[in-house]
Amino acid sequence: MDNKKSSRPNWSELNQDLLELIVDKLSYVDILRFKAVCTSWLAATERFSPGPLLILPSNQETDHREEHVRLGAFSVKDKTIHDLNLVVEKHEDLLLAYEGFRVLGSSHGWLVAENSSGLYLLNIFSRTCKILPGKATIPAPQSFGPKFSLFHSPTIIRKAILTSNPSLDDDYKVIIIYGLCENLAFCGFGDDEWKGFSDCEGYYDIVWYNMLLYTLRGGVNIEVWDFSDSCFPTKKMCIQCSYSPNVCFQRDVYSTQWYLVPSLGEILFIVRYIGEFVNNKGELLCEGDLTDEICPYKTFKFQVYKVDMIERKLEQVKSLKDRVMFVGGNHGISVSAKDYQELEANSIYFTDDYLDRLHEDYSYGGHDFGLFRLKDENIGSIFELDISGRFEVAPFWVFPN
Amino acid sequence: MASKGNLTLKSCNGKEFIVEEKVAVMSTTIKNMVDVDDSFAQGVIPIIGVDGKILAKLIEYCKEHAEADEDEEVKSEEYLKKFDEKFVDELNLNDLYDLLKASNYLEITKLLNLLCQKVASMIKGKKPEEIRRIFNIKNDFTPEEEEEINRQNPWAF
Repeated sequence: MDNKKSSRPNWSELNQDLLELIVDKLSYVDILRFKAVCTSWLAATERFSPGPLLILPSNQETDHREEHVRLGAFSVKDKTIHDLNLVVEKHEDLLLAYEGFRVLGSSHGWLVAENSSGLYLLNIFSRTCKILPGKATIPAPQSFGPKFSLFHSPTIIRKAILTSNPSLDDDYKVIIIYGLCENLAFCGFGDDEWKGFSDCEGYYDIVWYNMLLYTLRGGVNIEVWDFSDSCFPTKKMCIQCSYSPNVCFQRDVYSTQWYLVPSLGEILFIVRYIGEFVNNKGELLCEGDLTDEICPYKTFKFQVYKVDMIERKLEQVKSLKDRVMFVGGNHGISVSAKDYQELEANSIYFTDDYLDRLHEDYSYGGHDFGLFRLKDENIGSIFELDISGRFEVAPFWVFPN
Repeated sequence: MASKGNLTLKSCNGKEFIVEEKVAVMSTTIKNMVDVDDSFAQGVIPIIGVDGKILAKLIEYCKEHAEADEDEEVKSEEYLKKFDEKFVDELNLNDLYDLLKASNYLEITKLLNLLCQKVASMIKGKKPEEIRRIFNIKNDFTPEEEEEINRQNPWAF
């Protein structure tokens, strides 16, 4: 006779390759729970990477009048929005929208965020929070008096990046582009104030690569900064590349955003073209042509250039091969589609960082995200859902580690 | 002895099954054995570590799918889907476990996928404690390890 008790299978001893096959069929949240079952199941998830996650409001139908937004994480792998069980504050009034919860940057798995109580580093997965020096300590730009105030405060932070992962050690720095003049400042762990370090203005993007900071300014000026002397960064290099845009559109129907992305040992300069008013047929309109139809801004094209740091010139790149770029509110990053099979190779995933128009209307804002395929130069969506309408927190990519 | 076109499979507890070759070679492991050594095709193929009950189940599955591969009209995709659903629904936890291991060893990819999908559906949406109860798994983490896991992603639990 069968002895039921002794023949009971031991599921914790199932072969690792079988466990890995099961993990392949689970969603992101289910894998996190799977890991917590027992040590051998945990070991089977070692090779699992959640891949990039798009953080966005998890309930898009939220009433505009509500004072809070729930955040979720959309996984490209399982095509699901997972509720992060995290509620953040927001302002009902668009004029005060900048005072609610706002993500200033996403870097090394962490977010740089602000709300009415100040600036902080946030790991939304582990729920770890590190307070950063307040905005009041950010040096006032030279061009304005310290009390200058407009719809955009002079200390609005346009972008923030980290130099390393704060979960690993305290040897990280936070670097920001701030103010109407787009200056640079940084702070390190334990600092109680921000230190300005740029002698110029008008910075569009910053990336940390190979222990150096690369900054991008108008005229296509790329500067390289060394932070190895812990007190203050020094400018190691400044190159100017000639750049003439080649787009056959009227100048007043679109604007551009510029980014730097390190990829396979190169620095790429990426130009994003955003139609200022785009109707539902995808046509670019002038402000003067607008009718009753709501025509939000919309990205319609990207161009990629390789920066030749020695010859000081830009070389247009027609194909990214198996690379995938992520630009927008996040630290510019490039990954291989071989490592993330859920991503489309030779494409640019972008989020909405059109800061000047993000909070101008109740019917849009934060909506301009998707992917651009270089092969046939078209824009695709990241998920099937209708993404028109306003996102109370602009979506942004995070690479959890 | 099996007639031409048929193979004899023998379970670890001595039960013999005569099956059509096209059914048996749904298993890549058996296919390789037959391809490499002709004597297997004539003699008896021992299926190590798989008992008669599980082997019968495997043959039942392979038979349906081999026939469907041959004649799509008789066994449509929809028919197979229903068959697969019923097949996994009727398994108890022990059989599911044994079939998983057997289909892995015998490399019956389609079945392996189906069974892993079944296990995944049993895990879906459940908390670690519930999963342990369903699969009768002992929590072997130290309190420190458990705390570390919970600390990494507290929102997921």
